[in-house]
Amino acid sequence: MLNNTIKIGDSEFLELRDIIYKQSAIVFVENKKYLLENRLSKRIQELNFSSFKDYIYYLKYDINCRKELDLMINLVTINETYFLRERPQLDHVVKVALPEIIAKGKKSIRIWSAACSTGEEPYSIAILIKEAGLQSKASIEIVGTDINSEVVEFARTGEYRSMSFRGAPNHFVPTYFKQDNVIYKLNDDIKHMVKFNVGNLTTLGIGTLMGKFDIIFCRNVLIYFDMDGKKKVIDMFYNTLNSPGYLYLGHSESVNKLSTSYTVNVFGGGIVHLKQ
Amino acid sequence: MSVTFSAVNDSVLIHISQEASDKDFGAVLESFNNIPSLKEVRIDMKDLVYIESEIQEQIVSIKKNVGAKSVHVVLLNVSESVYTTLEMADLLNLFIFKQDLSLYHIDELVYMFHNPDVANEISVYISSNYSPDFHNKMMEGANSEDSQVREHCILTMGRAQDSDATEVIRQGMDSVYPNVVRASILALGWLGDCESKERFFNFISSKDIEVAEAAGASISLVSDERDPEKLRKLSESENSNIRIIVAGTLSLINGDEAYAIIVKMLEKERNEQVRTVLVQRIAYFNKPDATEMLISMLDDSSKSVKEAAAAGLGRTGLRGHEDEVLKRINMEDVWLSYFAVKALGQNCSAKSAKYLKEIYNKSEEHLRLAIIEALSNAPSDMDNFFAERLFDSNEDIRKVTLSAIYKSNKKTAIAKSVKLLEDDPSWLVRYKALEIISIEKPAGYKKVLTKIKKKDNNRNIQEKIASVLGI
Amino acid sequence: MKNEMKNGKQLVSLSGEINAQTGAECKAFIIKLFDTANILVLSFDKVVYLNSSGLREIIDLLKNATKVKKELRLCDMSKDIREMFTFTGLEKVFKIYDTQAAALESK
Repeated sequence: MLNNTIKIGDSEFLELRDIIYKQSAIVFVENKKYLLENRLSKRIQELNFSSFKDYIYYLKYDINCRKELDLMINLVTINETYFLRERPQLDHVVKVALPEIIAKGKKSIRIWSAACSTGEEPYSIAILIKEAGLQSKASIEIVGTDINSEVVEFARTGEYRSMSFRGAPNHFVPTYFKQDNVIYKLNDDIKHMVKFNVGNLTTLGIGTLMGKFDIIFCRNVLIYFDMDGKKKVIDMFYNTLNSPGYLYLGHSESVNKLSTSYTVNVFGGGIVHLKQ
Repeated sequence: MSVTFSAVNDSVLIHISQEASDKDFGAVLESFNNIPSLKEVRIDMKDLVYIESEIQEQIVSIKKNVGAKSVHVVLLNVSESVYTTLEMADLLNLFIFKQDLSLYHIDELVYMFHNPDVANEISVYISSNYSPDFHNKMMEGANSEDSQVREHCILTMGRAQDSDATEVIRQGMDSVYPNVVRASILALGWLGDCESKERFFNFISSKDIEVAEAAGASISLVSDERDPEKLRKLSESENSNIRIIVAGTLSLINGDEAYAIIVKMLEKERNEQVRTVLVQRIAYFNKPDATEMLISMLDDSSKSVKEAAAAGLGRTGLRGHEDEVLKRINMEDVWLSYFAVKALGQNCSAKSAKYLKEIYNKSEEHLRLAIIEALSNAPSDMDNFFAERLFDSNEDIRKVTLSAIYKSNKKTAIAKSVKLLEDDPSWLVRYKALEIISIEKPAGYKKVLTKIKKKDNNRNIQEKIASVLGI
Repeated sequence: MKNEMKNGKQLVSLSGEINAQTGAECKAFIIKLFDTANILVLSFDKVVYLNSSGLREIIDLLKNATKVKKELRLCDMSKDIREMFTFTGLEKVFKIYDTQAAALESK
């Protein structure tokens, strides 16, 4: 609070939006202007600037602008998450999707947490899988990716603070974490269930690079892409999924008309998009 | 009922639930006939998670039905998913999109506290429309196990100046969740809770930077004459984060005593990051001493300190020390020079103007930009200088020059804008020209804009023209 | 401090420094004017300095106004003064207008 929120002007917003899009394919629409103000004001003031105009000059003309562009993308793509977020979907994976896949005879299963941010989502899935005893029934590989290199680095450490555990049941932390002052360290056996990589979902060929998956989580991220970007990602996911394949989006998102290939299943507390 | 509506004066409010089907719309369309003076149709879509095509068609036909009478159709509280669907069907420009939080039930509003993107907006709305019902709900939420709900209920009560909640908010400072602690500290600062000041001081040493910053801010809001001394003691801490918070707090409290402490801190400080913050904060003091201190810092060995000093002069003003700033402009310290030029430019004297024109050609791109802006405040005639700059190969130079011309000579600026809007290769420049034309609305501007809209293929230009022409 | 009625609203022009002491004086002065209108517009045009203690008084003033259902509108703030409000995070709760005209005009 000791720093102010700097307001972004109209043409400044348009220009910055362009810069971000060119770097990352992420789109900031008009009504998300405030996100840029919130996420960049502190950085702008650190650099002694007092306006977005100055900052844009810095991004265009400074000798280290490449580095700053990366840092800026990291700042604007930070997404808050926490363990067991949108629990009904996670439960569906463990209680419905995985058992169905295993029942069809699959012994080797892959799960992709796309836009995993600081890692709470893939680690949550890992923990629930362990709790359900599914590890003995199949070999399950979990991969987390995010465009933001800093959060991926963070996720790899498996060290969290109390903020990440809001709403987690009482046994959760003591069972799976060791407390060290204000830091909670994830137990190794869970940590080793997840691998992390940096990646942008709209990069050409990312589907091929990632390989085939049985389950994909992509929650609250599609909102950052324009229509073309959304379609590209949804189609890429379809090609990346095995049959059956399960795609979970955020609870207020759906593929709608973006793709007619999926079957939409509504269950209590969520929606899953099925590739049959 | 899946589709309900009500009419108030010249406006109809329609609510659509997820279960609605096209049959439910009959009565609505009928109702329009009974309101001859209809000006606005508002459609509340807060309960639509996704939109079926038949419902989409109904909404479009509502627009068609009233569109002829130039009635606005406003879609309220539209979710991301529905927005995307409408976008794909290219229907966005048929409607106006707004948020109307008054249509939500209080429990729904509290639920939205889970979404960090909208939580603040909800909080501001509730605090601006505070009522006993809201008070009760917030009190309930302030005791919630859910840290996000608790955090935002506390912030809301603080914003609403709900002093009855003081004790409950104080308890928030005991939470294990830093976001709740931070919210409590902020809210208590807003409420002016002097009794909690002791705890605020303790929180300055919090490992959580956001909690520490909140503590510093709230101390300043409940400060009295004993606090500068307490802060001075804290300024001797070995922890650099604490020293940084202290610097910020002192600058908010302001005044002579605080200034003296900050200056002493700067004398002793060896940590570059802290020194930079101290210099930044000195700029918040409205004293001639501060300006002089900043000028002396222009020669500091640290790049970040020098730049902070130059930037700070933009805030304090030069107070006659123009010459000393002019001599520090150089081609190696590019950003220091940038800030220095900006500071000079606020009241650009003839002497500065002359000097800046002379160094223009040797300067780097962004320094040139600062120079042009500075010269737009120069006392003498810069017309020729600016005219030449409009041919520069750099788009930002052309854009900034156009702004500069606009400041001194509106007529010329308008004429140039019309031309640049037509043929400048950069959308940035064309957009600036468009902005000027939209404000000044010269004779025949509508025709010009209509013509440009047809041929310019930049989306930003097109959308701006559309909004100016109201299409 | 000067005040006048304009457009059915009470316009108060503040000037000089606003600190703990002068802030308290302002507050008392304006509270006395509560009976004269439902909307009170405070112009910061001639205010050269505002520190956190002064801000404290203005926050208190807001509290008093809300209690008796009076609306406060602030306007004509310099960038520095505006920043003092944004640091508290309360700038969204205060009704802040860019110009006096805008503050006096809207209903």
